[in-house]
Amino acid sequence: MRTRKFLFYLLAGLLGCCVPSLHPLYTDKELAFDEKLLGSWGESNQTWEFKKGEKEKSYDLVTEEKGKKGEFTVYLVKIQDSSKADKEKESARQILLFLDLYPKEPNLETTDFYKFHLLPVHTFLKIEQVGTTLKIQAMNPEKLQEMLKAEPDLIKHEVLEDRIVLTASTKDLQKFMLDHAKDEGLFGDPTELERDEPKDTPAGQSNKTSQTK
Amino acid sequence: MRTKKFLFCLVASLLGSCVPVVSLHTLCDEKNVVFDEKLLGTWVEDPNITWEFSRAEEPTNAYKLIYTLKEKEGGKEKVIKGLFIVGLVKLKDNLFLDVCPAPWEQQDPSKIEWACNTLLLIPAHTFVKMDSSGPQLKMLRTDDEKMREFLEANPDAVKHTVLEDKPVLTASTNELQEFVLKYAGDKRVFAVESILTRKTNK
Repeated sequence: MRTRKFLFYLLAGLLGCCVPSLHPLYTDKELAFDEKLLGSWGESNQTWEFKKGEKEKSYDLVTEEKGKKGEFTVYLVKIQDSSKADKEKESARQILLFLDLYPKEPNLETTDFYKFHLLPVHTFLKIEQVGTTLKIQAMNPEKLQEMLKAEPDLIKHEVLEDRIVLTASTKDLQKFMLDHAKDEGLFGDPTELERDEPKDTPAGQSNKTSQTK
Repeated sequence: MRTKKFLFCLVASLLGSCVPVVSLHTLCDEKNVVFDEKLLGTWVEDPNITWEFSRAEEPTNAYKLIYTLKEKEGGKEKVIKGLFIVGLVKLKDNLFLDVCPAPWEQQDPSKIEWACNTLLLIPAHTFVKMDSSGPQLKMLRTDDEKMREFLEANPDAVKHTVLEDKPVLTASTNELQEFVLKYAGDKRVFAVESILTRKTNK
């Protein structure tokens, strides 16, 4: 018996074609918080609203796309090659910024027994820019599939109904990102969200990403 | 800091309920799936829980399961349901159920308030060892606490990962079949017994 495909493939949009991961991309050490992310961002048919989350350095994100809402806990993750950090100049370090999205519990009117069978997963969006626009890239599952076909041990994963699910540890996920995030095509074309309601930016503060607190 | 994930079973854990171990992969393959008409019908687990099996439309060698729970809320009785697709798997002389949530499109979409959250929810499988049928259905279920202890002592017993102290099986269908067959009679793996009785029309 084959498991039936789920909504993952039916909804368009950035999250609809993402690569899920069982483990997060962060430990405490890689968490950052950038006030500039707060507020409402959008494009033609979707809105993303970031608010400060309850937990330290977390964001609450509410998305709306064609009337369908989503609610996520988000962390801003800053990873860099620590082995090079001490040896190289700041400008030469590879620093990558990601959003780690994790779903909040949807208000499903069903039994706990049903809910036990829903496994929440993480997904990662690479940040290209937080400024006048929020430029983010989702991992391209086809490109990842191609890479895994050539090198199956590249990163621990499982394939469910042709969908790749990353099962690698946080440490291995970070290493994979440092080694491959910039590989051509792994992260797809950027989605650019414009700020819906411009936030007051302190004078002299540039739009450059990212201020770690 | 460890991120406190909600893994939906948390509430049940706190209440001391049995939380089944989930698997990414199914226990079912074409070779080992069987269909037994005797499973069809409604089975009563306790006065508030029933399991209703009917033949699934797709795949036709599977069952549609409606799991119904009656509970009191504000003095009123409330009935909540969960819809699953269940496969009956025969491995040598052992029977197992593979239980997986039915696809979202078969659920009532008006009841999914945060539809986009479902993009990041993977429908996982759980397994039940069937011990007998007839007027009674003896089920042996997994329990995440017991399985965690078992896997800590036997880390190579089956491929898995641990999320927030909860084991998630990542083994392939073949590996899962070998695992459940090897430990079919082991209470560390199939730890919780429930006896269901066939509901009869009065």
